[in-house]
Amino acid sequence: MDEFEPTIIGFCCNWCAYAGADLAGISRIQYPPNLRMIRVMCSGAIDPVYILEAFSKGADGVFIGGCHPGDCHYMAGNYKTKRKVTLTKRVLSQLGLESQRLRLEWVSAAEGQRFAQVVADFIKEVKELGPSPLNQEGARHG
Amino acid sequence: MDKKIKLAIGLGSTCSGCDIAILDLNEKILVLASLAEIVFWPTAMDFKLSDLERIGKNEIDISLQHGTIRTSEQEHIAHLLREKSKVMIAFGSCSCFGGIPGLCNLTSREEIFETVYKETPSTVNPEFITPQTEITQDGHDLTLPELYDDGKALPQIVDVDYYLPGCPPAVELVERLLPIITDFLETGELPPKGTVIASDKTLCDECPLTKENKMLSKIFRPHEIIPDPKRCLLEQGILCMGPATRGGCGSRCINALMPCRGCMGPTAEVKDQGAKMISAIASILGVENEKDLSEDEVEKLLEQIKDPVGTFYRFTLPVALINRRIKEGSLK
Amino acid sequence: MKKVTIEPITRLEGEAKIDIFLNDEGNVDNAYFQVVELRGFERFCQGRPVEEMPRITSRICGVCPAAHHMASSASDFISRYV
Repeated sequence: MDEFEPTIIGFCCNWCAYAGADLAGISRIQYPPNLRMIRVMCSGAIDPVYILEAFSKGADGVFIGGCHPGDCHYMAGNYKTKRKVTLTKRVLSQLGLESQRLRLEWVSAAEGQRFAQVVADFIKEVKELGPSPLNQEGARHG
Repeated sequence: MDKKIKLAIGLGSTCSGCDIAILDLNEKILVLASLAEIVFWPTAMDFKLSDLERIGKNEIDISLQHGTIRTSEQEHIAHLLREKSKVMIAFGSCSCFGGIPGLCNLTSREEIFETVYKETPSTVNPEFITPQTEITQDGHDLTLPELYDDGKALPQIVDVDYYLPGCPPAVELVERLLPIITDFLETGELPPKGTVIASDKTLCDECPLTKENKMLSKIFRPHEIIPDPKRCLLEQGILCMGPATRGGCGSRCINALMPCRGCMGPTAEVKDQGAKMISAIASILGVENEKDLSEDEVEKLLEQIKDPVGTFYRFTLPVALINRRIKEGSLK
Repeated sequence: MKKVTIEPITRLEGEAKIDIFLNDEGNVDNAYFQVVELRGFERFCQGRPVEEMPRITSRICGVCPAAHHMASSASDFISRYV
């Protein structure tokens, strides 16, 4: 029997989270391959449209990686990320999509091990939640 | 003797505010009457469905349809009008984006029947009789159209040529139809397909209020504040959808010192009006001391927005990226 | 039995049809007035903030939005005291 393998879209900021992911790769730290990464310059530039579109196109989970508060390369971008993601989670809940499917993590460029850890943890959580309700048979909207 | 175009005006689940918007042309309705022969308009004239069905393919020049598509009959009318018309215009917010009846996507047909036919205080219906698509009563066969679970906008059902948004459409925008019809009669030319008959910019561009500095720390509900009539409402903490909404409506709501509710829908490049507004509000709410806010404080700050989906997707839920509340247990 | 259908009723707001069944003598056996639409305002207004009621319920009817606006403003007014 096929075990459910979630599809996770990850938006990672160039200066911290993406660099952290690179470090994990160079250090050969293993983590499950379910995350499809999209590099952005700053997590604050992530428009909620990208998150909603990812879910609408079938993602089972969306991961956003940014710099730790205070460390944003553009000074204050990640504060806005926090607020945008918090509000988007409320919208997802209201629409009946589990808000745990959207995860925001702060990962610095030096935290290769931590990147692998939080992603593996998130993939496990989404596996337990199951496929996105938007992906169920007959659920595609017109 | 000038030729006239053939004009049809059909409806979905409408409040007929759009019909009134056409009648709001006042004396210019006579101009419309001189330019167009109306071949279908049940709200204002005695046309029957059979009259529409009898019209030949492509015989109608311009059709307008207003109202959300909620029933099988309304979908049928949309297909009839599209088949019989050269140009189809989605008239009003309901047909452009789904409109207010589109909020039915936050509930379901079963829940609506429960409320309407059982729970409302003035309903006496002990056997819980609900509408059926077919029944036979005393030997008489009766049918009703099927009520869909979802509300749909017109472009989700048929190919739409132009959009005229607004709830209701502003008179200035309805008046723009008149030169379009005149040009068509004289030269046969029409605007490019997909044209939205409204402004291309957001409401903020035509809003008369003074904009200074967008930094909010508190959201006020209408009874909690008497707004300064000269300053941007959003800056004063009143949730105004202006930044994410198309202009062209003459900023009537703002002129009455009421915040925009987004009835004109998003501007051209925006896929999802609600998402745009989430981005705008989250960026400016709490920005002044954002460095010092704890996680709990951020949550509390955003909890001031009482009903995110209802506020940000008031008129555009059916065309949103995630366009309905997912039903428990299974499918949408 | 002959059936005469008036579909839709015209020159007013709202959608409905009328089926009139005639018996063999040509007299009316029974007539049915059927409302063919339902939007569900009673349901989807639940969960919305009370201050939005005037703006939502006024879309029940485009001919008399002011009436709905006034009626729902009463609910807004009452809610402050409950």
